[in-house]
Amino acid sequence: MIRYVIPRLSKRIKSQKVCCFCAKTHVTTTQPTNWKIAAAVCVERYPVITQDLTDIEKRYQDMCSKIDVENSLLSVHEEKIESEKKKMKAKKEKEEKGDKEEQSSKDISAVTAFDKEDHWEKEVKEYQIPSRITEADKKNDMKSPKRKLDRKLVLIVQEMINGKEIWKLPDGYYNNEETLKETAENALQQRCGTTLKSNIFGNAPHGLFKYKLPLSVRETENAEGVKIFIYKAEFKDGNVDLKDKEILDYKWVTLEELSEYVTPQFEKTLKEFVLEF
Amino acid sequence: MSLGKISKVSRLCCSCGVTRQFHTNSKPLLFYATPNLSAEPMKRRKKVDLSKVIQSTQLKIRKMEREMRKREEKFGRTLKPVEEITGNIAIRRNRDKLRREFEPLPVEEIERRALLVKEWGHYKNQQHFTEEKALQKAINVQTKALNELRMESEELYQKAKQIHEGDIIYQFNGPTETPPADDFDSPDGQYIDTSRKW
Repeated sequence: MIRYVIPRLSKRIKSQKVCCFCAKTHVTTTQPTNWKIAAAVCVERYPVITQDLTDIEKRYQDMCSKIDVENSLLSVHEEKIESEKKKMKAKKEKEEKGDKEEQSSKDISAVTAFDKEDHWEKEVKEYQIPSRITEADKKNDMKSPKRKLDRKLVLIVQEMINGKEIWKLPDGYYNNEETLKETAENALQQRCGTTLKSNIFGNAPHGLFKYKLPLSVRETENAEGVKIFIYKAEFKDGNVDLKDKEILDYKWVTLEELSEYVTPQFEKTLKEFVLEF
Repeated sequence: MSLGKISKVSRLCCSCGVTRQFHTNSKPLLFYATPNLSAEPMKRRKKVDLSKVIQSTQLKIRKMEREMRKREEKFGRTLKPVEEITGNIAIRRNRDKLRREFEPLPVEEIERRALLVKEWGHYKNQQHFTEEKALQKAINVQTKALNELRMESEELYQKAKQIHEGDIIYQFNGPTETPPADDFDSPDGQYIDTSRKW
């Protein structure tokens, strides 16, 4: 045990030096690192419609609406209906008695409450409320950002790497751009075309995915591994353009469906900062 | 300057260290008397008859009162109502008539509701903590990513650290019950001014 702990500690001390001015530890940048820098963009489509209520939420909402009704007063419209009902009753009674002459001249209000209700119903019927289940849901079209409107969707793309088809986020290597955000923007535009409109949040990356390159490739690539800095972006409009053929395929998936496409490690890092609530 | 005055002055100046017997200046040093300012001669006060003053003020008050009475008669004592506060007076008067009729709640129902409120509190509390935890984790992940970036390139780190001005004003139209309809032209409404003039 001790043998294992000591080298780890000593390593940590080596990499951090205490500054002689402010007596704080700074991370030294003098060590020559040979990691490749890359930037990826995680394009998120935020939920458009509300999520279905859970059991307790439903029960609580039900109770709240009941209490609201119990504490409320009759509205003006309801009151009018009540009074009209009473008038109708009185009218009928009079008719039964045989006084037909009086009823015609009095109480003919131009628009009754019932007429109003009919009118409102007609108006509602004229406007077609869009369904919560879209056509993309019915066809199970994974390529449409209009599927599963109540969930958060993430854009993943398929690329050919070393003869393997791999699902991942649209990403690209750092190519001496001014900022890392520019790298991310360029990568997204190269992979997905200009038709996809999105907005990258902030200048700082939201997450990091690190992996080491296999030993055989390390010398040719002149790098120990790759650090992918992941930016989050908000989907605005449009969709991916497949014309450039940088990518083979793309899909809009929920966080649960993500596990079918990417590696467990990558899924874990994504779920750490791509939150759904 | 009389002798007495000089002696007084010299005593005054003593503390300042000026005790000379003669001086070329007309006044002792370090002692500057301000010249007299030519003032206006005092006005003679008019003798005011107190009773007359009282009379005149009373007259004024009476006049004001008369005017106020006139106004009251014209507009009544009612103040200009604030509609937002007063609300619909007819509804307030018939408040008891407008109540909905319900049978008193059974004991089980009251019990069930009380338990549900407790359960809800628990649920919300749990939800809040899980969200807080996840947010904290996301922040930690970001700082870790930034630190890793710093190890690679200090320049990129400094640029990534800067605030992106465009994100400070951020608008988001929240999730709705049903999705927005495509190509829907909302009809123009009518504008009717119902505010009363006073």
